[in-house]
Amino acid sequence: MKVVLEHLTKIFPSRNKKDKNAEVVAVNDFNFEIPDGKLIGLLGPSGCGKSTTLFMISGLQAPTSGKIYFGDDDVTKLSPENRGIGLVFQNYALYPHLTVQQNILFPLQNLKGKNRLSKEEMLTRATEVAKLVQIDEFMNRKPSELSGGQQQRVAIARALVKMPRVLLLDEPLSNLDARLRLQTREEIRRIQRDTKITTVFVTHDQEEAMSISDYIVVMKLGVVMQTGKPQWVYDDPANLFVAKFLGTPPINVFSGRVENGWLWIGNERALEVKGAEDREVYVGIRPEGFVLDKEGRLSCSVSGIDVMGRDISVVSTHPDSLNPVVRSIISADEIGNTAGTTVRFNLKPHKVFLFDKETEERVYFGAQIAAHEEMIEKMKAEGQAFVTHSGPLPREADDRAKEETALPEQKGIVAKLKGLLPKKKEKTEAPSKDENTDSEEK
Amino acid sequence: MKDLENSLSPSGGEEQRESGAKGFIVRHAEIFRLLPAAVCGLLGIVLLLAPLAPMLSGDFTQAGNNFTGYSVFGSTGRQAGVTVPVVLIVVLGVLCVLFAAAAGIFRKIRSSIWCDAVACLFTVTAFATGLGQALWFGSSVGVFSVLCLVIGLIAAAAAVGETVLHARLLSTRDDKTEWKAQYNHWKAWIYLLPALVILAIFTLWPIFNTLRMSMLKDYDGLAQIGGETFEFGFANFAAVASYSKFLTCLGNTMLLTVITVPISTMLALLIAVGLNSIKFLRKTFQTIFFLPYVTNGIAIGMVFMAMFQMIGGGPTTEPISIGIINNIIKAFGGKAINWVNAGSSYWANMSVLIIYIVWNALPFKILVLLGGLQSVNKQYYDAAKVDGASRSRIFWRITVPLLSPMIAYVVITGFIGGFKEYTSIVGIFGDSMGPVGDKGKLNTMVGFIYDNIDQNQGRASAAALILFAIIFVVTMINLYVSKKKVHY
Repeated sequence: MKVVLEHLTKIFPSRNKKDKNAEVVAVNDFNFEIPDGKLIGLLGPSGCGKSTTLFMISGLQAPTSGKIYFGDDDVTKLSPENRGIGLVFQNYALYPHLTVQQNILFPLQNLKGKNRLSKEEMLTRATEVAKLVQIDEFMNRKPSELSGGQQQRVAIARALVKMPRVLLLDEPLSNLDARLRLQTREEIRRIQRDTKITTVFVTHDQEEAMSISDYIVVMKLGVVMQTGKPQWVYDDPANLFVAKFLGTPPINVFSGRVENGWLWIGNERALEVKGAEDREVYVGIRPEGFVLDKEGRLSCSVSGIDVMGRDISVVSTHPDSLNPVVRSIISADEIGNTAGTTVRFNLKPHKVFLFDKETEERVYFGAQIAAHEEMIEKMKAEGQAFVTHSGPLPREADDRAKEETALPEQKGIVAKLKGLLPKKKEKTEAPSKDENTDSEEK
Repeated sequence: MKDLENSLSPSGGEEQRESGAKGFIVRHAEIFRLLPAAVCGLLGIVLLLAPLAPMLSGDFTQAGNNFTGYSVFGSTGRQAGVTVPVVLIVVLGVLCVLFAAAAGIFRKIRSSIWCDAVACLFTVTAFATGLGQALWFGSSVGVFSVLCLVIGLIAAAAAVGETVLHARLLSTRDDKTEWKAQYNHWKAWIYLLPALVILAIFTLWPIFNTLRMSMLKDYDGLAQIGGETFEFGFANFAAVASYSKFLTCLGNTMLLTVITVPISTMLALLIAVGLNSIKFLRKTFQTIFFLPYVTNGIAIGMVFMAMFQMIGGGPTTEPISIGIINNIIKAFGGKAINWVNAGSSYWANMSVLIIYIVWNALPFKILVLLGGLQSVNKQYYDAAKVDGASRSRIFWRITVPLLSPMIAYVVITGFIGGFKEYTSIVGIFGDSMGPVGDKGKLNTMVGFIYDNIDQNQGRASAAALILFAIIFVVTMINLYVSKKKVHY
């Protein structure tokens, strides 16, 4: 069942109805088309509106404006029971006084009219679904006698038993321990593949979303930042937030500028960037985008080496880095190339992302331009649009600005806390234009 | 396997190496701790009943006299105060019996500490009772009293030995500081002492006194001071049970309870659910529904009487003045009904009473149920909505089971309160407990007790005990049913 969300917006009014500034825009103009039978992950930090979107799709919350279509039916005004959805809550919401079997049978007993099944049919369906989620040995237990993972599966069974058109999961793995999480997310993928039901799940764990979703939607503050297949979103981030949100270890962000087709980080010409205009940029370099080279263009001062077995993580610092440290992952064979405290890197062009300093949107250069066009074609072939939000995107700079304009008391506390943290390297003034490759070491 | 045993035993690993009798005692320490308490319990019962031994030979008077301490000072010069110490001791003994039974049967109480306390208390009780009997009842129960003394001493020795054993166990435990701390709470008992003393005088003593008075035929406190004696036995119970007025009261009470409790519970549930679902004017309605609780039963009863009255009517004559209810009936085209005035029927009276009692009982029930409702997780309702349940299905399959602990509480307290109904009848009908000319038609058990309390405390006490027994049985039934039906 295809699900289309058109201009979906949810605004929570403030308690004081007059105060327009205090109202919360939870979801801001969400446009997305979920293809039939796919597993979609709604990904984002806390408060980005993903759960609100999910509840709007389910019908428990009414959107302030916008439409929702299941296939060709406009379901925006329908109540949850009439939409044909199955919803798995974050804390499962299993009825504590009913056994597992009665919990699973409950939705079937509510079907009316011609949909109503006979007792045997109900039982058969319940047992089928229980076998699908592998909970059939526990049919006579009460939820309080089950472990977290088992309760999770019962909740999924209860959602699936009425053969919904869309299955919705609200943070399904957040209540489980780490080992169980790996197991259960595979279960979810397996169940989705077996039943071929369109599934939407919400999570804040990017690894989880990337590993099992067919498509992911990255959100921030109610705005869709990027959509697409996990690998595409990872390889081709549309803005700084998406680049920083995906990837472990996180991407290294530098402050730099483009000049005459070259990317300057600090006083070094780091990479040739044909096709990009001269401007100030944020430079995002994936940890795997560093190549050790004695004559490399980018130099950093090494502060440590983390051995991870197969790879080695070189931890270094750079004056123009916006992160406290620069992490680069190189294979263990190359380690011989480090010399003393300074290390020089060359950059892999497809792992370097440039973002405009003002808008924090992606600036393409060189081979990336063609690769990006190719990706847009691929997405069109699957029926997806690349950018879905028309208005301005929330920026990191806004977050920092909010921090600056915090109330004096808060500012004091923030300042005190900042005083306790190790000092970040201060950003340099406009770097000098001469080609002196000596980097200033602090 | 041995290691497992070692780790599982409560006394730690070292004791396991001791063999023989000491080892045996230590390994089964739990049983040995309970044994003295159980023995003392049995002894306590025996000692309790020892003064009544003459009953076995048919000498009820002597038994009764033993019980009340009459014979201490001979046939003349009785002092009522003599009975108090013996009675207190016996009361303690009863408590110990109950406590030991509970501790022994349920074993849910930290058996070690409580059984020790109980065992020691028992021993003291047994010993004192035995001693008291030996001293106070003279040679007529001489053999028995000596036996009591001996058994009391054995019980004392058992408790002492058990405590010593326990101290030995204590000293070998690693966490003995924690255990010792549990024993060092004598200060707590000092703090509790004033309250315990007052409790003993004003709650325990009257309870025991009721028991005592019910066993003395036609007991009258004033008459006793004047020098009368009373027969010991179940005469009061027999008299009460066959007294027709008592049977009327019993019938009224049962009828009222059985009708009002289910109605008020159901209504309270519906109102609580209704209140929970409205946002607008919720506080106003809560106040309105809570008003009966803060009003005076007698005053409102008079208002009800005025509302339902019909003065001076008959089969052929029109009434002189009618209350508001009759006015409403007339407005709908009916004839005024004689609800509460002279000549009114039993069921008319009962209807008014039922309406009043239900109205009075609603606020507390609504309060409890509303509180329970608001503690139900809202997600269950969301989940039920998604599962497509209709409102009535949500109510019966989700709300009521999740509320069942509260409902059970409300039903149990409702029944207990219902059996004690009194003020509502007095409020509406006044002291005569019935419409004019029909004195006592609507009397209840509590009313009966109250009526007899001036002249015949014996009978009143007997009636009170019968009421207690009925309430106890009904509560036990309720608890049994709630075990089956309530989901916690």
